[in-house]
Amino acid sequence: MAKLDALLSQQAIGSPPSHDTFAKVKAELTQPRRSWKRDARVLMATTVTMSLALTVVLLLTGNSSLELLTARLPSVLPLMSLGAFGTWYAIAPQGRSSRYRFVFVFCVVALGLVATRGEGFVSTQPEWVCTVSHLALGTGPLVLALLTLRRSASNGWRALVAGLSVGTVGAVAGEVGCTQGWSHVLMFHLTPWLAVGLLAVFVSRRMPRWSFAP
Amino acid sequence: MGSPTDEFLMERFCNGDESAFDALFTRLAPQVKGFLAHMVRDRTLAEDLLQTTFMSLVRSRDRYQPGATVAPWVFSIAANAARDALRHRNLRVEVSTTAQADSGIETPMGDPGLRTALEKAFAALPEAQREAVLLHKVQGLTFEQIAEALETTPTAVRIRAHRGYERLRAMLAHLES
Repeated sequence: MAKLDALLSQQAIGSPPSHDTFAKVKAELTQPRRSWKRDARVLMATTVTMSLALTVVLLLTGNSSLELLTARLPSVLPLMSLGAFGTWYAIAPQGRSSRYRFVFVFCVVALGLVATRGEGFVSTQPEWVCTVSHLALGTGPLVLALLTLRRSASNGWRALVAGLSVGTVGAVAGEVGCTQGWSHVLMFHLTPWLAVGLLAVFVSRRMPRWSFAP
Repeated sequence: MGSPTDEFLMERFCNGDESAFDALFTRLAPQVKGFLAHMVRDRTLAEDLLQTTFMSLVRSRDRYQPGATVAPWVFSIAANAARDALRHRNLRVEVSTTAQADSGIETPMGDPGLRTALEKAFAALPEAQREAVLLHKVQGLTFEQIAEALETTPTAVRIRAHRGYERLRAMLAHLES
């Protein structure tokens, strides 16, 4: 065993790096610095602003009402908070345990949406309209999240948290603009929300990275 | 007066001192290249990944947490880059006698037969075990540092390193006698 330990300790140093490698890395120093905090703030602001803007648009177009919005505030506010905190935790270099906690809170909030919805009302629109809207609303912030995730090493939990966070945009729209019952929420709201999260994991894992820093 | 620590150099670099980066590169690059060479067993790829590792360090220097130990952070970047390269290029690390000549592992030790045997044994280890053994037994990082770098638990790293080490011992038993 002593011989193996001695052998292993001799493996620590590789051949000297080439001058070309050093020169290329040095050239990178001339590029402008990017801050992860700035990236996280942009993603957070995009997610929250889109949620707020959609709420206003749904009210102005008559697809929602102040009465419904007031009734749904207990679920809308946690959703917006989830989107804001989640985008930050997805991008921050530290906070692994926060990302696990986020996924737990997501499960609680998702179950809460179903549990508090009740039987609801029959809609004239087909049910899949909510699913398509959810996916369409999540596309823009998802692209931004994926581009931001390229700035750190591939990490499934980060990608999942980012996807679920930007998915809150669609979830907020579903709360403000949909009056159908709990089974509709479960099938046509939560499924696309989860799909956005899983899509983020799938795509992020395959994207070329700009940096491999954790 | 002793030489400045990696952490001191990294903080100076983060504050804009480029000469601190030169010192860090000179100090860490040979070790990182040694690690990468064992991970990917390809001389050219190891050099490319060394470049990728230090480019990532430059690009993401604001992701470094002041006060954190620098070496585990840099090795985590290297490990991430190596894993990504192995996955995307679909490289299979196989025990092959023909591949040894260009493995890129150039250590100062003398016995080429011994070196080849070790390279073959390393190549036969699963990626996660090889990574853990290299970081713990070769680069001297603690289980806690490796766990932090690889975003896992110290217990998981300990198990991987132990299993990898035991497999190495079994494969290299003839050297012990």
